[in-house]
Amino acid sequence: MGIFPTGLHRPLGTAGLCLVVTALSVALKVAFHDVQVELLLLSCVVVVAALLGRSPGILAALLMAASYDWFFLPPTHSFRVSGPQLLSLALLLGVALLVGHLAARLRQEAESAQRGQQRAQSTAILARELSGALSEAQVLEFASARIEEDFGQIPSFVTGTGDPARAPNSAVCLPLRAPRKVRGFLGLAEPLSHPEDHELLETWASLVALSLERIHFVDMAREALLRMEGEKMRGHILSTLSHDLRTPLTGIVAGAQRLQQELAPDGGERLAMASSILEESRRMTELVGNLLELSRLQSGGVKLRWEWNSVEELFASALRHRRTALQGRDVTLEVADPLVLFWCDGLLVERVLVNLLDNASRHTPPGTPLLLWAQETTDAVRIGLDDHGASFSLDQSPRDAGRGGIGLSLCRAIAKAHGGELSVEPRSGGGNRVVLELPRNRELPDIPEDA
Amino acid sequence: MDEQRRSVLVVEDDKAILRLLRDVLEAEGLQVHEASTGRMGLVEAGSRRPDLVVLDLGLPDLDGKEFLRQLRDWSSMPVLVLSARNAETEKVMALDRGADDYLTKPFGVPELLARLRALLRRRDPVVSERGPLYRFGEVTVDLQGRTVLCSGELVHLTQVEFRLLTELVKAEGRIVTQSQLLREVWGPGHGEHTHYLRIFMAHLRKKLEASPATPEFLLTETGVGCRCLCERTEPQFP
Repeated sequence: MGIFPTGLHRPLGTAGLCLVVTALSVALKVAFHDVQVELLLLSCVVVVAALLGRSPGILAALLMAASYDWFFLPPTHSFRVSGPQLLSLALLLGVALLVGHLAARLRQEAESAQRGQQRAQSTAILARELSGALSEAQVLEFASARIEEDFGQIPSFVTGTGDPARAPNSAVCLPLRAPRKVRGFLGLAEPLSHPEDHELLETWASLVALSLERIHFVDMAREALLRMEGEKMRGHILSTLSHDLRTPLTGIVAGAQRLQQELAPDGGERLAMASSILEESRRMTELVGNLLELSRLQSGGVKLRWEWNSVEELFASALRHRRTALQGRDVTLEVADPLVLFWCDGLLVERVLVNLLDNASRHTPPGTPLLLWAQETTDAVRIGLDDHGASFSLDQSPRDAGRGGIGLSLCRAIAKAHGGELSVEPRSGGGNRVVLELPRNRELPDIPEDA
Repeated sequence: MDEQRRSVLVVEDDKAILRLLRDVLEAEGLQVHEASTGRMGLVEAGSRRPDLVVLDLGLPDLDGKEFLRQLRDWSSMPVLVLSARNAETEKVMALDRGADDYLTKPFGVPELLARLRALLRRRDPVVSERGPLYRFGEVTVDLQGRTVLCSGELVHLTQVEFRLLTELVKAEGRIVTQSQLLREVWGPGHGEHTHYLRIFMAHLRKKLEASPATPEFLLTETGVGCRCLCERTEPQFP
């Protein structure tokens, strides 16, 4: 029927068929006078309705009624009807409409059943393809191919967002809704004619969403596994390195110490050399320790050993560790309440104090005093070290004659791990104030009675 | 026993440290036995019956925990463990499983000798029937008489303070881990309450130390435990 312009082939086909049937009926009537043409006319309506649908069926019914009136109802060759003829005409028209309607519905149901089957098949194929997809790109590729085949349009996808503002601005837009969240959107440029098509597309959209979610979780699991393996390996390397570096250092330190002891009675240059070996190897040990601790903290996933610690004890312990480095200096302690207790990883905070003292003892003029202080506010504990050195900032690199370096980097990393921060500010009277601010994240529990 | 030289077993896999320990210990007049693996160490400990074991926690064949478990099955000989600075968990584990003290690598010789002497001293049998006295700084603690003197004057301690001091002086300079202290002083179920220790150690320092903020004797080792640098003396009868 492609010879007619689209949209016209149905009415024209109907009219043509009606014409042929009318001509046949007239010929039969001329040949055999007492032939009944009504059934033939009705059959024509049934055929048209079954083949072409409801509207052509109605058209055929009307045409057939007209031709029945014109050619077969007396007075023939006139549309005038009267009396019983009117009843015949009405009956024919009524029956034609009814039969045509039934035939059309039959056809529609057959068609819809066929479409349903096709859709089920397409959905099954899509589901099978998607279940084998290994990446997001693959999921979208399969879905695009299937939609193009069934809907005749290439869809557009937006993934990785559930934000409606980012949805494509097209005639049809469906969210890719998965159980956990909306994983993206599917857009079609042309609107869909059939509500069933819309339903089908929705089903496919949720299939695509499910696949995207599955791939997301598979990726997440794989990443977690990789991270775990990486951490395990890093931990292993760090502990091996720690042992391997420290063991020779222990030998050097102890050897230098013995040398120093043996040379002590003689004094002189050799003793000075032994002392410098001892001092430098101790510094080296500190550096190695700081470096390992820093890489451990920066690799993430480090569990802090949270405990109640008192500022006073941490101060005392840090000063004890740095007794030799601080010789000849006046270190004042200023703690508002001697029992400032706070929840932290004591070893790490002690490491901050030791590194700050180290840094100050190396970079401020010898003999200048230091002030180690602590203050408490309702939501933070501030611990600081005031010195009389040249001003510096934490971002300076040691090569620019600054005071930065591994020690201070570690201090910053430790502050960050506690959810706090390390800062340096110049003091009004000259010198620096380095402040470690840690959030108070736990209320002090009760203390039992003590008789 | 008194005639014989005291002996020390060193279980350490690093040759340089082994040699160094040997030199230092022999200079101290001790007899030194060596073992380079944990298993050999256990065999040596059984056959030589040393007065002290120095144990490296980084042994290749046997971890420190396992060594201590097997050793403690049949012996209470003192054990000094050597371990790295960042390995506090490891230290605490070793101490809680029967090690007597620890030393962080790299250690100084004077520190090593101080620990060794403290551990060997503890092996001396108690001679008097009256309990010993413990002294540090100006303080004298008499556990049996339940009295604490500071510069000759009686110091009043609360029950908990006295119990805490008792645990510390009884260790005679050895470290006592936080969980051991909490368990002994406050009883089981208080293992997490580290703030008790912080508070009562501060009380003790205030009462017994000349300068509580920079204590000389009642020391806290962050993340591990506390120690009291005291000496045991036998009471003299008039």
